[in-house]
Amino acid sequence: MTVDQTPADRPTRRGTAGLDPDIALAATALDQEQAALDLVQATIRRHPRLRGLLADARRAHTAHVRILTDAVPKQARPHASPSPSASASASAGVHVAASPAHALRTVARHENRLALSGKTHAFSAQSGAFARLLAGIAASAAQQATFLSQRAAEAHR
Amino acid sequence: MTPLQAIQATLVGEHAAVYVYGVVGGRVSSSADPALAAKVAQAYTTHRGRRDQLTAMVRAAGADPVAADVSYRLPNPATTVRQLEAVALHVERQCTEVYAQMVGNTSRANRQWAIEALTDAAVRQLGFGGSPQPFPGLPEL
Repeated sequence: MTVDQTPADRPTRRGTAGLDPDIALAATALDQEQAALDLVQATIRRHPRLRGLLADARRAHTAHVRILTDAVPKQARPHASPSPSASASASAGVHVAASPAHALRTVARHENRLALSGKTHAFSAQSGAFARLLAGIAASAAQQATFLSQRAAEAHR
Repeated sequence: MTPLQAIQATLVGEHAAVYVYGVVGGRVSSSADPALAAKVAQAYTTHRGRRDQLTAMVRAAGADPVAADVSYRLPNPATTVRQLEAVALHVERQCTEVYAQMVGNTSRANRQWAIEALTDAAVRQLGFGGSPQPFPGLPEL
């Protein structure tokens, strides 16, 4: 592999919807982070004993939703709800497995998918600073996927 | 920061990681603590590989890869198992920061390389006593 001399920050080209590509990317990432937060909230509500194990995930997704909400103009937002009360009502409709171990594995799989799509977003970002942020968010999801998979496996033993 | 400067800065971090893991690997007992010894050995191999890849990237760009220092300061005496794990965790945290910096200052294949390295180092932290963080590699957040 050689060094690609293309600057990290590429000139912005508007997409078909007239939206800055990074704003469109942020809106997608925000939607996915909100869905992850809703799933974690719903899992905690169904299985209160998992609250401790899921505390870091809830803290991380809340921080991600907050920072991405700031990056996306209101009119471009999908249906994110950064306030805890709004998130609580959104998570009410999320299906959670009856078995705590199964529910934990579901969250871990979701985190894994989030890490993969987050890496794709970071790769595609036009702005270098935004790519760095998205890569950090993806790495956070990868940590959660590993951490929760290990805890779910321990619970299964 | 140009893409080449970002890659050279990442190489500086890898030189330090390879040195420190060499020291840590020499102090972990593979009979008394085989799990930690295996994790340290794997981390050493990974960082040595990344150092060589970065060196090749810089050479391919026609530049001289930055050289390693003679030695590096450890963050603690690195004599107990807990201290050795803390050193490894410290190295991985430092690496996530330089990888994140490289993500922000490169594009295409170089950025992809840095994204994968960042994720890998963030996950490896968990094996050395780290806990999941909201923004690995981004200390200002």
